[in-house]
Amino acid sequence: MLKHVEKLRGMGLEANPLKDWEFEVSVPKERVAEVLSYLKSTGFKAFIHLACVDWIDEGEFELVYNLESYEDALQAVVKTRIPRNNPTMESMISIWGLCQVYEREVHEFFGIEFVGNPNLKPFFLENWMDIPPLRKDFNTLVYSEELFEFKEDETHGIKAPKRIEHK
Amino acid sequence: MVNFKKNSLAPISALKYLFKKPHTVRYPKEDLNVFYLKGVSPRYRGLHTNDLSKCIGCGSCAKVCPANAIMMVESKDVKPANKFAKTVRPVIDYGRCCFCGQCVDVCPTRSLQMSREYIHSFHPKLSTSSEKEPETVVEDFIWRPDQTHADNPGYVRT
Amino acid sequence: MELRPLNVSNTNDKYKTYELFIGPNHPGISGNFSYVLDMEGHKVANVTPDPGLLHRGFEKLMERRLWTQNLALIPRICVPEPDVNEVAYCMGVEHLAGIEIPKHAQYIRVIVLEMARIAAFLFSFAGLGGSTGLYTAPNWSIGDRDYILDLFEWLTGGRVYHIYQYPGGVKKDIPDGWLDKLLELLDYLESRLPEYDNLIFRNPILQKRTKGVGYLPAEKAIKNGITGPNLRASGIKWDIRKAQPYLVYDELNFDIPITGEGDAFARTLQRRLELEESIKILRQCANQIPDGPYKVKIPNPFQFRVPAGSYYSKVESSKGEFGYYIVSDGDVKPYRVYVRGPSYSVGLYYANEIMRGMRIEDVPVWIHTMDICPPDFDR
Repeated sequence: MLKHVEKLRGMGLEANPLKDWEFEVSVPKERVAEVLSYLKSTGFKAFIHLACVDWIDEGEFELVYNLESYEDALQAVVKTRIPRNNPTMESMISIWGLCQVYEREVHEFFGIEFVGNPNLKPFFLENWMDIPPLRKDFNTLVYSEELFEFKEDETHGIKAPKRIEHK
Repeated sequence: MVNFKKNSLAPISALKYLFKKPHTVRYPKEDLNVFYLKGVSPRYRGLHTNDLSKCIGCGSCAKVCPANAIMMVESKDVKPANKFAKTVRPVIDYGRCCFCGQCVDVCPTRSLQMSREYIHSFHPKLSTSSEKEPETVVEDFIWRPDQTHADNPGYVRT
Repeated sequence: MELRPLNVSNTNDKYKTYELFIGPNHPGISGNFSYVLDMEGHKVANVTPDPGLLHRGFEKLMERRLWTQNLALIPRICVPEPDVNEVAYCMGVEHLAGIEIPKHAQYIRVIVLEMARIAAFLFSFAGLGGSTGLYTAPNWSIGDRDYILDLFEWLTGGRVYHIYQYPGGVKKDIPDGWLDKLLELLDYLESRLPEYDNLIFRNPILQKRTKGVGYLPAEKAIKNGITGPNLRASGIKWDIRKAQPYLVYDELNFDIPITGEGDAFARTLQRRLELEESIKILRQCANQIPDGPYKVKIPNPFQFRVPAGSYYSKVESSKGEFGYYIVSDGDVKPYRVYVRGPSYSVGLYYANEIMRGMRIEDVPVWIHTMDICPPDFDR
């Protein structure tokens, strides 16, 4: 595994091992395609997932590509950060066709525009008008209070349960 | 590996299953008999019991409940256990409860427990109109657990 | 989704094209999920997966709950095999919090995982029986699965959703006499295996229905993100339990059977062979489980803060790699939890490719031998 890490460091990237079989690489946005296709050529042929994290305080989205190498039993976590307002990202479907569905999901839940992805139509949600729901500034409680009528049911003289938010 | 030889007796040997007992338990004629107690598991997470004199009304169960099913309600008929204890007691909405048992895990005095009782039946009056019926059902789903099922403890904190 | 009018006017055409819905309420799919098939005669021309009917927003819900409160929520992500969720989540939380769990608890986790695997395999045989018209198979395998659920109920208090794992170990110790019952059950299950072989795998009708259906070559399996028994049935020796061992899998002696043909029959046979290995693992666990504490104490749920960081913890489930990408910012609640379900790439992406040109009666067979479980991608 160390040879992969050394090689990636040689490419001028920040790479560090996490566990015996796992390492992570932080990549600037422009070089993601390059690094992913390099990793694919060195044995990381399986694409495991694409996750997105909303770092609202820093004003950034973090995209996490997870790859696996079946020959060397290794796992690579490729991370990149993109700005939060007007987020766009290059689509990876030329490297892995299956990125199409993962990117479609991230587009729906975070509102990231993937340039080059042919199908970013609504996927899980139907008739969604609000901001993308997995963003941190989307408040589920406010949304449901606006959408639905709250009914105070008074039974046994007991008020409906108060919502407890843990601070 | 699975052996793929053909067996000419296979159709006849299938007949033996005609005389086997079924897997199913014919409830209520029979009871489940796999544990050392008759019926459901000794650790079954069923309806709650609460020792009202031991409970200090701290509200941890209400705070930890993932479904927000527990409310702390002022009870007139209890005495505080010590001078720091409160007279509020948990009231559980069984329409929300998911029987995960986290309230039992968190209870500092171990007064809140779960029993092996799981059948809750009630009979709305025949005179209740169909519009009123949902309300009566809601009423019967929210109650304050007490010692009613205490003789049949299930999931308890150890 | 808009309905298209039926194209019925083309009398000159050889085939009428029409739209066929598999799901959302269909006995062939375990969960509310639908495939919209464009049919040309009995051949599928195009397929549109339509998820969202089961979407419950777990990832958002988890951000609003405490670390331990989530444990009541996540078993619901995969209904036939809920334990992998609990174990993967707990392993991730423990890694981030730096908790080392005792050996005894690790063995209990392995026992729970392997029992869940057997239960899920039996469930998948039932699905296959249902989709091929072999209705004895569901009767038998669901019946036998219930004996496993009995033991689960004794151990955990719940039959399907156990809510048994906890960061730092498990909630309760193994009760007295439980391991003997487990060994008894394993003997029983092993005695049943030849009968399953006779019923399912030597059945000429089932062989005709499954052999050659949904052929998946090895390189395509890797390219499409397929994991678990489906990958191994295509001939790739990859099992997280062996390659990147978690818990105590490195202390146990078991093989990874490989069938390698890559069709629907091979995938079912793969599960049947792995079931035998799981029985072997459970026997070893029951015999060599060490004494000791079953958990380490963690702070009370309201003060349980997990140090900031991110970690991807994964578990080999009966369907493939089940992973949790957990991000913490040092608070009492998770910052973000991403769930990687094994059926995601199969059910939503690979289905588009494989189902084209498939005959309609093969579609449920393909869905069941791929063990597509909609709750884990429609989470």
